[in-house]
Amino acid sequence: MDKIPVTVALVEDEPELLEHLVRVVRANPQLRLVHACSTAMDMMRWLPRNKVDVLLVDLGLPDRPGTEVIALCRSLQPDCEIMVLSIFGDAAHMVQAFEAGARGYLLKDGTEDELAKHVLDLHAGGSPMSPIIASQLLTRWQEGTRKRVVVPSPSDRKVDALSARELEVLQLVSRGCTYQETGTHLGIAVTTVQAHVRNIYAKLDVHNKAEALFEARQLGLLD
Amino acid sequence: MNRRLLVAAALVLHSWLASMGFACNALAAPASQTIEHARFLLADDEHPPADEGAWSNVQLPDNWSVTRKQASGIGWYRMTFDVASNPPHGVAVLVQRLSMNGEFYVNGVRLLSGGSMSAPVTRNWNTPFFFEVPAPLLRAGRNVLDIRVYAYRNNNGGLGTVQLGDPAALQAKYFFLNALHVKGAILSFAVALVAAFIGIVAWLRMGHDATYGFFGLAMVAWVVRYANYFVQDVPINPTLYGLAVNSAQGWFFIFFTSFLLRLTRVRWPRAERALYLTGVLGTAGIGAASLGWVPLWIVIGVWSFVWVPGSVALLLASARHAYKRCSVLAGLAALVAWLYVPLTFRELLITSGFMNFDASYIAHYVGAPLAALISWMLIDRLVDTARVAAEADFARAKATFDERQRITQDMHDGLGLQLNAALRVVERGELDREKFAGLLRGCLDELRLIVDSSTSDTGEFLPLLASLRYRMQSKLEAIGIRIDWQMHDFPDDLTLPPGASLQVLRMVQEAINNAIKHANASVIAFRVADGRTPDHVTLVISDNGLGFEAGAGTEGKGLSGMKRRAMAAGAKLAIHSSPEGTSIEIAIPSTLRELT
Repeated sequence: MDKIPVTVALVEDEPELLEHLVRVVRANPQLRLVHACSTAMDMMRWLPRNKVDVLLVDLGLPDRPGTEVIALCRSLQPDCEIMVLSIFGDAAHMVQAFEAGARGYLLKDGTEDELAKHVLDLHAGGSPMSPIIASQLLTRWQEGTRKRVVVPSPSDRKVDALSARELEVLQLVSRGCTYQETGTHLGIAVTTVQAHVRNIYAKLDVHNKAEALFEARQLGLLD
Repeated sequence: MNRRLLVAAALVLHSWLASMGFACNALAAPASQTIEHARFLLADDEHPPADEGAWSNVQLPDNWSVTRKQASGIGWYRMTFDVASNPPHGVAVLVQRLSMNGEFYVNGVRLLSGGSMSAPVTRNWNTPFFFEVPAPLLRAGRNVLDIRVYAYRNNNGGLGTVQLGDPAALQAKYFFLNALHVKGAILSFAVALVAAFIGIVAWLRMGHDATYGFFGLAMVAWVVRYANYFVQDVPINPTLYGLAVNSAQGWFFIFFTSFLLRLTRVRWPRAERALYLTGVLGTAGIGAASLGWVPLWIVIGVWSFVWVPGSVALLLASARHAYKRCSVLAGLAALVAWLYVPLTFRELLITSGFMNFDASYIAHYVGAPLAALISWMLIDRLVDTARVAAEADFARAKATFDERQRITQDMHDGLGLQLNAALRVVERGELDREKFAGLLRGCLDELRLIVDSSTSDTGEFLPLLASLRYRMQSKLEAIGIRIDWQMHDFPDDLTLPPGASLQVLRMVQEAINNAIKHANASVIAFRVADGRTPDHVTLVISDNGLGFEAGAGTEGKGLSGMKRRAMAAGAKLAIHSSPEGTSIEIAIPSTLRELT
C-alpha cells in the first residue's frame, strides 16, 4: 500500500455523524482527510483554494442547500468525485444531487468498512445506482424520446439522449440486476457497465457551471 | 337545462320566422304607385337642373355599378307623377334604397335631405327614405319629383324603387323597412359586440387555447360589418372605412373557419395559411378596386375563394360537430349555420348586382343567434372546465389525505411496533449490543421500505422489489449468502397501489430474514413461477436451508405475520418446506385493491 492516499473533504452538520465519518476516514490508510466542516459556506470558502479527490456532502445543510456545494465543486474542480451523504439514498433526493454533479452516494448507516470501501470504489470509477433511480431515469428518458420533448428537470434544462446500450443498462439495473449480472447479460465487462452508469449520470449533470461560479462570486467566495 | 335549451331554440326559430315574415311583408306594396321610369342627368348642380340638357332615360332601380361603372359623384333623377285635384290626404314618397345619400325635391322645392352630400358623404345606403309632400306644394295634374343622389364609383351606388301613394300605408311600410334595415342591424351589432368581448376576454384569460380568440375576432369582423348597416357619419377616411367594411365579411369567414377547425380539433395549417393569404390579397384587392385600379368583379372573384371554402367548411364542420356531440346546442348551431350561409350568398348576389337593388340584407338575423349560441357554448365550456378543475383539486386533496393516512398506518404497523420492541429491550435492561443494533437496523429497513414504496410515482412493483434486493445485497454477501436473481420473466407493467406494494415487500423481507436467521441457507433464489395466469404473477422465493420443521422453531411468528399481510394485500401465500429448503410462493393479483 505505497499508493498515494485519496484525499477526502466532508461537510455534515450532524456532529455525531461528522465525528464518525472523520474517524472512518482517518482509520483507513488509503484515505487522507484534508477538510471536515459542518456548514456549506465553510466548504464553499475552502473549495476555491484547495484541491481534493473526493468530496462528501450532506444535502440538508443548515445554511445553504447541499446541491449548491456540489455545483460549485463541479465547476471549480471537475476531476473531484462528489458523493452525497444520505440515510435512504432515495430517488427524489439523489436525482437532484446527480443533476447538480454528484457521482455517488453514501448511506449514513453503513458499517465503517463499507463507508471506506464506497469512497475508494467511487474514486476508482464505480458509481452506485439503485433500481428505483434507474427506473425513474428510464421513465424520464423514454417519455423524453416518445414526446420528442425532454421532461422538464427541476432546473429545466436540456438532457442529452441516451445511447441504446445505456438504455439497456438502465433497464437491467431497474429490474434488479447487479453490475456483474448486467455485464454478463450484455456480454460486457463490469468496468464497462460502470462506465455506462457514469456516462448516464454525466448526461444528467445539467448544471450550468457559469451560473454556479456567478453565484459563488455573488456570495463573495471567489475573487 | 333542457328548458333553457328549448327557450334558446324558440328564440332562434322566432327570429328566423320574424325575419322571413318581414321580408315577405316588405315585398307587398299596398295602395301605392311604383315609379319605374325616370330621366337621369350626371351633373353636380346644387338645384334641380333645367329640363333642357343631356338627360337620358333610365329604368328604376338604377345601379351605377351596372349602368355607369366609371361614374362617381352627384346625379339627378327626374320623374313625374299625376295628382287628381283636391287630394284628400296628400301624397307620400318612399324610397327603399338609395346609395350613398340623397336629397328630394318636389316641384323644385327641397323637402328632405339625407345629410352631407359632399365627401365625406353621409352613409345612407341602407336607410329607407320617407316623406310626405305637403298638399299646397302639389299641383293638379303633372308634378315633378327630383332626387339628387351621391354615388361612389364601383360601390353599388344608385337609386332603387320609388313608391308614391297613401301616406298612412307608406309610412307603415317605412317603419317596417327602417326596423328591418337599421334597428335590427343595431341589435345584431350589439349581440356581436358582446360575443366578441366574451370570446376575446376568454382568450386573454385562458391564454393557451386560441379557439375562442378566433371566435372573438370573427365577431369583431361582424361588429364592423353590422355597424356599416346603420352608421351614417364616420370620422375616418371613407376609402379606409370602405376597405374595412367591405373586407369584414371575408375576415369573418377566415376567423370563423379557424375557430371551427380548432373547435372540432381538425388541423389544416396549410389551408389556414392559404385562407389568411387570400384574406390579405382580397383586402388589398378591395382597396385597389375602391381606388379604381381593379374592376370590382375581380375582387369579388378573389373573395369567393374565401367565401366558398369558408362556407363549405362552416357547414360541414358544424354538421359534423352536431352529429358527434349529439347535443341540442350543437344541433341548433349547425341549423343556424345552414340557414346563415345561403343568406350570405344571397347578399353576395345583391352586392354583385345579380339580385334586386332594393333587396334587404337579412343574414345577420340568423348570424346574431349564431353568435349568441356559440357564446353560450363557450360559457358552458368554461363552466365545465372550472368544474373539472375543482373536481381534480378535490381528487388531489383526497389522494394526498389518503396517502398521509396510509403512511401513518404504515409507520404505526411496522416502524412503531419495532421501535416499541427496541424500547422494551432497553427498559428491561437486556442491553445486548448486537441484539439492540439488530432491532434498530430492522427499524431502518422498515423505514426504507416505506420510503421506497412512497416515492415510486409509477407504482411499478419490480423496481421496488429490485430495490429491496439492492439494499440487502451487500449485507447478505457479507454473511456468505448468494442471491440467485431469475427475474427476467417478471412483468414490467405490474403496478400496485403503494399500500399493497409495501405489504408484499414486507413479506419478501420476512422470507429473507427467515432464510438468514433460522434456515442457515447459502443461496436465496428469486424467480417467477411457471404457468402464470393473466391475473396473477407468482413470485417464488426459495432457499437451500434446513426448512422450518428442522429449524429453531421461532419462525412461527414470522410466518403468521406473512399470512396476515398476504390476506391484507389480497395476495395468496403458499409455503413448501423440506429439509432441502423452503420455498415461499406469493401470488400477486394484477388487480390488487387499495388498502386503507
